[in-house]
Amino acid sequence: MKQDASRTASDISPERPGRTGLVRSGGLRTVAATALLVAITAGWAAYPLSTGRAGTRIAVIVAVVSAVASIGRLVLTTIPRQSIMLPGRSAELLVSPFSSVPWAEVFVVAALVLEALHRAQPWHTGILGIALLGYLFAVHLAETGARPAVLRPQLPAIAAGIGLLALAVGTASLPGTTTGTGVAALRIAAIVAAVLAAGLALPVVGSSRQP
Amino acid sequence: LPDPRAQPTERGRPVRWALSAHARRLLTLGLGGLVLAIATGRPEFAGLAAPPLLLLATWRPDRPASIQLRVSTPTLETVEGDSVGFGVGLTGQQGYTAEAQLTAAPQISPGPATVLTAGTGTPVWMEFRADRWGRRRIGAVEVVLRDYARLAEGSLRHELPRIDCDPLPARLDGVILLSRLPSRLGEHPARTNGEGGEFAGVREFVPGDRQRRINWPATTRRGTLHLTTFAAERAMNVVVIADATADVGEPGRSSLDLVQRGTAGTIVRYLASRDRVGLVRFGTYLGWIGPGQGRRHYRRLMDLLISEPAFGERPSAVTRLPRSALPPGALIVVFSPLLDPRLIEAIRDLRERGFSVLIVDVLNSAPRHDNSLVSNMTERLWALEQQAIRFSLTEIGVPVVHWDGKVSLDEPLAPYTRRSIVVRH
Repeated sequence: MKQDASRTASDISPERPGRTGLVRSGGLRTVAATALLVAITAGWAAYPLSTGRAGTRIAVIVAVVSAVASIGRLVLTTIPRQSIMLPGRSAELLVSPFSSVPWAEVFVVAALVLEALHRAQPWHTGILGIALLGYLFAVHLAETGARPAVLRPQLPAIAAGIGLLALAVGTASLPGTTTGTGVAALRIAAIVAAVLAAGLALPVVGSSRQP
Repeated sequence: LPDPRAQPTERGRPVRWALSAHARRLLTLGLGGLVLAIATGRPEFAGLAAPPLLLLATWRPDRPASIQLRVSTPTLETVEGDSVGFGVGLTGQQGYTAEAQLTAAPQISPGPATVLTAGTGTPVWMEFRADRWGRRRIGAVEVVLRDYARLAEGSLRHELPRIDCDPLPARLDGVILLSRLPSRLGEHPARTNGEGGEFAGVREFVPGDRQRRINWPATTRRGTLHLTTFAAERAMNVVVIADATADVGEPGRSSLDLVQRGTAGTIVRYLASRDRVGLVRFGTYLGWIGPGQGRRHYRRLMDLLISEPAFGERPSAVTRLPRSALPPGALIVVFSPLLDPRLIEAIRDLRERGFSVLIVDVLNSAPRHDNSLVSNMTERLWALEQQAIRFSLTEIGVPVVHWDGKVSLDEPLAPYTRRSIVVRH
């Protein structure tokens, strides 16, 4: 027979204070940094807007919408669901558009397309690549609540990747590399790299069927 | 705290591996860069794909296909609002970091997610809280394994058993006593003399009386032998009727919540004073348990209280409450919002059969209305009807007290706990 003398039925209420409304301040800081980064990246990819080809306007709209939605998704990840004080299933309805679409991926594709629609210098694309990489890491840190120190083991790979990017940008900046047989070789190399990249993902997905 | 006798469950469980969201985003950037490099013939896009693809190349190929997950079974009985703990341990995770989180079922509040230390197999403590009484699912423990770069995620799931969450007993310190108690050994002093411990009076000694009970001061004063008498100690039969036909009012303090908590508080209080307690659950089906004592009986009463019987007689088919549930001379305490006319008729019938009945009214809300004339008039009529029901019950000798659930039950029951209720047949 359980009866706690210190508690009575009046202690029970549908929503208990103290359990809800807690927001990670560190998480919000990371989200703010991500928002700043995504704004800079979108602006960088769109600039200069006047030199864009057909479809630039649509790409800009998609990039802005996906940027806002991806930040909204991060904010909702940081705030506990119970603290969204909305009646009935309104909280679920509010959250579902943000959580059902991979907005970060949409933004990455939109930013790349936006960049491709411009006649930009190679170094412009290189900086966009670094900004997009930084954006993806910021999203990752905001989602997981981890500190930037967790990226330390990956620093060699990041440094090597940025080195390759700098090499590619340098190669593209040399006169005469965008015409002739070099382009065909580049395309073949890119296709091989794409196949390798897809091959990297397949073993992980395939192992989910292991007993 | 969990039952220490509970045996942990240990099984090798298959792990479902998938790309993490971070890896999917890196893959998008890498493939997007390569596709644009091919489409536009600009090598800088291929260079842009290099960092994410190199990062993806660092993930570990040695992913465990299955791991041992140990979940100590949590205690299967709790009280609403109490935290319940259980242990979760992992072995065979091969250096992957693991995070365990409870995906809670409705009306269950999970505790925070817990990181399981790699390699030690030491179980960690997790908690959840049942927010409302009832027999319900707890949910499942979801364990997510991650490599250091968080590129691959393995997940496995363990479903926890159902839990019986008893209503939080309303506080009741005093007890309502009847003037006439059945001749069973108990703790309440009765009006008849007996072998109890409470002083009843002094009378003249008659042969056969026990000499050790001679009252020497009275004997000295009167000059003849006098004896101290004591009140007999008796137990009482109490039957609690829980009206589960209506659930109106603010969630968390609805009429059904108050019925459950008041019933639980009454049962706990009377069982603690060694009385015999029975329960009639007046819901979709009529369920009852005759008066009894002890811990196992308490569990049976709580089982009936929190779960609707799967079969039985419908209250509409019952004209009188079952005799087996109502021993003669029992005190009957009814917790009800008094919205079901069948229960009101049953209470009238009980009073006609000579039972001492007391009703705790738990109705704390009124129907919604706008400020229109018709709505106001309807509400007024409804309030008058409710008032008439309560008045008619009081007139036939059934007291009705109101309880809002915010104060202890002692407050509304104070007029009846101070002195015994005189039984009149």
